[in-house]
Amino acid sequence: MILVSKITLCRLFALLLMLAVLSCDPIVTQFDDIEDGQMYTAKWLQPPPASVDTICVMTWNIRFGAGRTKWFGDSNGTRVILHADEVYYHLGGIAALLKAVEPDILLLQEIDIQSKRSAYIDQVQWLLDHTHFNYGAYASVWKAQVIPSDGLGRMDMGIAVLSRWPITNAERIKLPLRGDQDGLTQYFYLRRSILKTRIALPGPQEFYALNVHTAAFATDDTKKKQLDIFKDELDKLEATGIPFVAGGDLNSLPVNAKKTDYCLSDKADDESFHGPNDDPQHKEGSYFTPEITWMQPLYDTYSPAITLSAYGANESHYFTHTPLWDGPYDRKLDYLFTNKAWVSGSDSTYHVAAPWSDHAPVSAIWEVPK
Amino acid sequence: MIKRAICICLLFFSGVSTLSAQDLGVKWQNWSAGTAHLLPENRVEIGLFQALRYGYSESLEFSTHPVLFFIVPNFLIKWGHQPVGGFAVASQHGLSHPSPILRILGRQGIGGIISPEFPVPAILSFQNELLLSRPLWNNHLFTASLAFNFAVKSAPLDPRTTIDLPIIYIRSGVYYHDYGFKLGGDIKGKLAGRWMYLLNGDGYYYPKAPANTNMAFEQKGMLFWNKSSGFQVCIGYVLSYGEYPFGTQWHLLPLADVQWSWTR
Repeated sequence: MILVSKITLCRLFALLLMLAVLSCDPIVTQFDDIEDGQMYTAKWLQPPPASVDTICVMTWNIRFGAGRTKWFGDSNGTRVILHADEVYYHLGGIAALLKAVEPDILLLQEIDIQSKRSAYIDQVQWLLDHTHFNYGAYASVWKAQVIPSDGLGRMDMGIAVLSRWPITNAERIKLPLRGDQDGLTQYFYLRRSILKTRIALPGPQEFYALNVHTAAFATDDTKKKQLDIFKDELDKLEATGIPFVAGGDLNSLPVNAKKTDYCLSDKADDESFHGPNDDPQHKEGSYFTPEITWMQPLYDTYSPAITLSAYGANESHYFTHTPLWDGPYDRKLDYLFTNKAWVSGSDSTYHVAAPWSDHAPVSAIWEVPK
Repeated sequence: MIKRAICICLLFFSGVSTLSAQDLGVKWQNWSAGTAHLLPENRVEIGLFQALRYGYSESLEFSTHPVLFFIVPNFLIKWGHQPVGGFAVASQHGLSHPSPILRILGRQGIGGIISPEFPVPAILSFQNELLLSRPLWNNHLFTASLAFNFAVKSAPLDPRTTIDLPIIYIRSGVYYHDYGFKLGGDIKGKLAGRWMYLLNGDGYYYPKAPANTNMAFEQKGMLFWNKSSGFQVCIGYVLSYGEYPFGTQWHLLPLADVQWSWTR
């Protein structure tokens, strides 16, 4: 009887130990090198064109539906947790612009699907259900049960691709973490990724759309490594002759940008930079001077929707971002590239989108290869 | 609203006699948290995560979480009543003031669990629970419990201040929804030698919460190694199902504690 009890006890202990081990859900989700993207379908499907000669591609960092709110994390503000009404209002503005422009493929950055800061609205599903897009794929960039800082709470922010045609495969490709953070901060910080989607476009046998959002505030070479990996992925497709469109918020200036130091214009009232006693000397995410060549390999290898010569001739026309909640866009961070061709002069940078995000969307017409 | 809550509370306990009776299952008095049994007079129990409990008299027991006391002032009285139908009967009446810890957690930078943009009002949270315990066979004890909890606030608390994590979200529901109920049942008993077990289930219901976030359930399993009447260690799990602002979710969490006891 005692023996049976001891065996039972051992089994119970083993069960409890197993439960304890299994129960250790990580607070922060970490990712394998390559994982499947999360697939979405709109509530109501709208028939896409059966044959196409050109498609409109757009990239847009929608700032998780925060519009131009003075958010604490990126605009020297104090707001953290938005009300659902605010988020729906901004998403409504984003959807209205999308319906007006009617892009066929949309690369989205800073889109929330289950974040406390944006009232837990699944923004991928909402945009699918309120625009002409039929299919979506999503890859997390920042996913945690709780971010124990500034009251952020639960977080699931990422990047997404929306399409009128079915997305037949979606891969989340891991990018390196910031190398200039302590271990604890790095554990709770963003885990950047590339979202590589295969889309059943009428015409080419295979076609890919790739989306990326690289490091915004790294002070070391993390962003360079991420840009290099992004280009490597494009090179792999190019080597096999598969057509693609690629882009996103690269958090980098064009190589011929005239202004490369935004420390003083971006600083908060209580910050000081460039002074002899200032430490750090430069504001994180505002000092592009040492990294101004990092975009060169992409420009050298692939076709940009906006050429360097066009950009250089009229920089302010192509600006896509400002961290100031009430300022005009004052730098270009958002890009589209392809290994085929854009319709010449088809690009647009939508400064009218200013109420809906701190980034302007960029679109261009892509020639479908025959 | 508050008057109605107090009336419901008084009605809830009006049928319970105040006569002391601890003659049912004296052997269950030690380590008796969560049951209708009270600690023996002058016995003190404490754990790393367990409240400090003190048997004041045959019919009164006091408890508080000493570490938390400075950030969540709290106090609980357990009151033994006359047995009913073979059940030992006790009621618990507690008061806590969570505002200080909510304000500490509402901060900028690292450690900020609540956004500092929201003010936290003064909150008083009241716990009232009826406990009924009855021995099953020789070495097991069944306890049923029903709690009515309510909170009063100096001003509304913004619903965006919720901490959407298991255990915490469920228990802090009363701060946001004025009052709530908890219905529970547990069985504890002897396994073999110095080994004891506890299986427990609790259901939570907040009538004033939105329909998709007004219920939660927890199931707990614990194994105790009872070295003596003065020391025990325990390990186990809690399985939690909750309706959160982001949807429903299950969590399985480990539990462990070391507990001591002595007589003053």
